[in-house]
Amino acid sequence: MAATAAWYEDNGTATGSPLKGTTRAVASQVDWKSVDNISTPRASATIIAGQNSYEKFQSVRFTGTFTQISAGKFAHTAGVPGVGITLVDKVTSTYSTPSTAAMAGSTDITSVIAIASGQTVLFNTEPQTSSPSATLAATGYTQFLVTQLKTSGATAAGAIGDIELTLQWNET
Amino acid sequence: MFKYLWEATFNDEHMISQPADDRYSKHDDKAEHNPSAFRDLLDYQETSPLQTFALVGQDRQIYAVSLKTGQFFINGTTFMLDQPLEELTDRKLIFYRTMRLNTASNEQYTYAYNYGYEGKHPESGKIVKKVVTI
Repeated sequence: MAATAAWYEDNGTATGSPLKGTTRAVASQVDWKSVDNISTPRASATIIAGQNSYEKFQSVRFTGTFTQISAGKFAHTAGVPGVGITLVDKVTSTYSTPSTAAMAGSTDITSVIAIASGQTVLFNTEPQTSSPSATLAATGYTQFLVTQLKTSGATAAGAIGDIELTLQWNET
Repeated sequence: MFKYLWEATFNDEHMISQPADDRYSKHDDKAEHNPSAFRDLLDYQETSPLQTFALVGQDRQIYAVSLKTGQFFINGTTFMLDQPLEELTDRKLIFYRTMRLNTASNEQYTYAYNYGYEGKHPESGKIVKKVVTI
């Protein structure tokens, strides 16, 4: 056996202490759209040109058998969003109610890069727990890997191509 | 499941082999989390220093390192990463699998196996890492 990694997504009004989403559920994809939930198909919640998607607060949960997980990296590794579309992200342990306002403190990750050059990701028992660590030695999560699509008036109508986001880690 | 399983030999000639299910010898079904078998290797280093670490493939390919001499062994070929007269001292094992998970396939996979050691440079005293990736 080894560690089992799975994407999770927080949605809804920030709640609790430290703050987290009202809901947290397994996410099989990242659908950037005009509603803050995990269930509505993106075709039913399109983003109007010139507006932004809701921020996506995702994290990766590690279960199963492992001695240590370390060296987390996160990056946009494949797929081109298209003309007039910017993909931004932020790796953080702070949850806030997702909105369509331009994400403060974000990084432009529109261009594809090698995962080795990705952003550093830390670990903790929960994504919102403060003082995350470079290593994980028990069941836990990455920090939040928050992403958002920003569009402009030049954005063409229709679905964008597949965007691949990758998490890399070392494991024993 | 694992392309390579590790085998560890200690100075007192004790050997530990990674089981195919990577199960820790003190595995507790009731525990929320159990470490992998690599914990057994770390635990035994408290008893005797690790001498040789090998990754053995299903086709019996062997990738190994001697922490005593700094020599790497790959399928019968021996080589050093330490420069002559700059052999590191107090070598400690480095081993990890580099894993990846992406949103496109949503499948996690092993990208690489990495092994080697870190040690102290004889002149500068700096900690230097020597790692081979397969």
